[in-house]
Amino acid sequence: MPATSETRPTPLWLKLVPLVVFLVVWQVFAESRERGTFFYGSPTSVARALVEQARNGSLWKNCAYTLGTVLLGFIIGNVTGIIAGLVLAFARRCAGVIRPYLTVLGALPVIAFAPIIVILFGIELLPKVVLAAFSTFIIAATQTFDGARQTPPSSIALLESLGANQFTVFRKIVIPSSLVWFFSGLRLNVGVAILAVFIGEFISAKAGVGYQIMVDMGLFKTPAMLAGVVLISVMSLLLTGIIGWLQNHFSRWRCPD
Amino acid sequence: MARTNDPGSGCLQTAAPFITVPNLPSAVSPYLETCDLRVKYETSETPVLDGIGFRVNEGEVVSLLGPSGCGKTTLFNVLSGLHIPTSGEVKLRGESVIGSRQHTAYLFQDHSLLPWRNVLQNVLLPAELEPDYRSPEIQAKCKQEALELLAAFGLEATVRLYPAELSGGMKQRAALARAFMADRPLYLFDEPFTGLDFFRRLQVEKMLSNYLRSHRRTCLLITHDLETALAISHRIFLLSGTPCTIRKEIGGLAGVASDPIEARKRPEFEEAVKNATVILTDIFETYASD
Repeated sequence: MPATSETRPTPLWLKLVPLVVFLVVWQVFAESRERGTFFYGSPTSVARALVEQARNGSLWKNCAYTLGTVLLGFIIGNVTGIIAGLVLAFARRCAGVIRPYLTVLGALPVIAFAPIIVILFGIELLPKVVLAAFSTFIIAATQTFDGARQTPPSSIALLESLGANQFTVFRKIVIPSSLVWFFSGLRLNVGVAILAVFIGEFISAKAGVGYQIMVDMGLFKTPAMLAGVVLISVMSLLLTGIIGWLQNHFSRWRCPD
Repeated sequence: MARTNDPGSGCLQTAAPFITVPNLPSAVSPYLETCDLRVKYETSETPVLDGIGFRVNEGEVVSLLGPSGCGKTTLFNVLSGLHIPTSGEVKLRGESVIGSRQHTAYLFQDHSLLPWRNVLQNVLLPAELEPDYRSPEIQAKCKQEALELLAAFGLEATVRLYPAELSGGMKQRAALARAFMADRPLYLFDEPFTGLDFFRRLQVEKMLSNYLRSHRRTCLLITHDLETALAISHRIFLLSGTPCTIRKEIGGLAGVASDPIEARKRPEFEEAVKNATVILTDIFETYASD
């Protein structure tokens, strides 16, 4: 089927147009105001702040700290969450008891837990990892459980008609059919993990992008603060891109070329 | 002339075929036998199956023709062991198989190809469930068998494709190949020709018929198409609406024709369609108020 305007992929330059327009408007706005850059920052001032942080090494140190913490919490939370979700899908009675609690916990803002976790686990790396892991665990468990419950009954009946036991049905049908939900959970959890670590660094930290933003806020260094926001955005894009690549690799059957 | 099944008796004795079938496989005792099968759910006052009884000989292809929702799929679920009947008996080679799931290969109405597996992997699925599949020699043997099955159904070029890349006809054929990979005593096909145009239907009918004949498989088939039933089957059970009973049994042309295409060309085919239509109309008029 020939490509139409609806099926042809959107070119990269077109996707960048809104960003470029925004940057231009921002720059013009900041320069047109008295002390505009001080109060609002500007693309050029943010770029200068990033270069400065890269030169003095704080950019790499803070990024490594934050990214490492995010990855640790993300992996722990998602692995345990996926396992918990699958166990609950397999043990339906247990799921009936536990599922409502997961729903309630998922609705609570992570910032509500941050002070308690800091008190329990201290002010070093651990509380940030725990906060990220806890936040991502809830979503991973819920998505995995819901995905497992969405398994087509005809696929289950197929294996049952061939004499497969429940464990084999779970392994060969339920888990593979839940893959789409796994990756949806992973995508959601990127932002959740970053937010959790960010909040942890706001409350108490000695390093990290969130910590640096707090320091720059105290010094009224708006461009440096916004540079931190740019770094967080890049981290988020990077992690989401990796997950997207993994999803495409493991879900080739959904969108064959 | 075919006699009707008396719902009260529950066990269908031999009914004279509508069309004489001289080459009908014979057996001293039936290969598959059901007696007074009843299925009634607690939530319903009317039973779904009400005294179904029939016999099938080894190597026979028997079609079930009846209105939608009359209980044909429920009957297949009972025969395959997925559902335990309220009462009645199912025997295969003289042994009760109620609740057993080792004796049938069941092709569901929606082909149920697993979308995350390619065609070869889908066909290999029944083999993977066998205890001895872990052996590399068995795996190689099964893979070879799967490839031969796919070739028999004209799918050798689709081995690495996923179900999303297949046409409707290809999916049906892949599902049939997977069913035969299971190598079970009894095959149950629930509307295997759904969604196929006339030409694809003929193609799949011929492939299916050839495979069943060459390997002497016993098969029960649900279809809504009278011509398909007559062309591909040795016998046809005409079913009523809920509660489901076998109202009449007529003969098909599988025993006199070499394949479904030749069956359609035989002079008696048109007559058979006309007469079967009259019978179906009579059933409809007699039991329309049921």
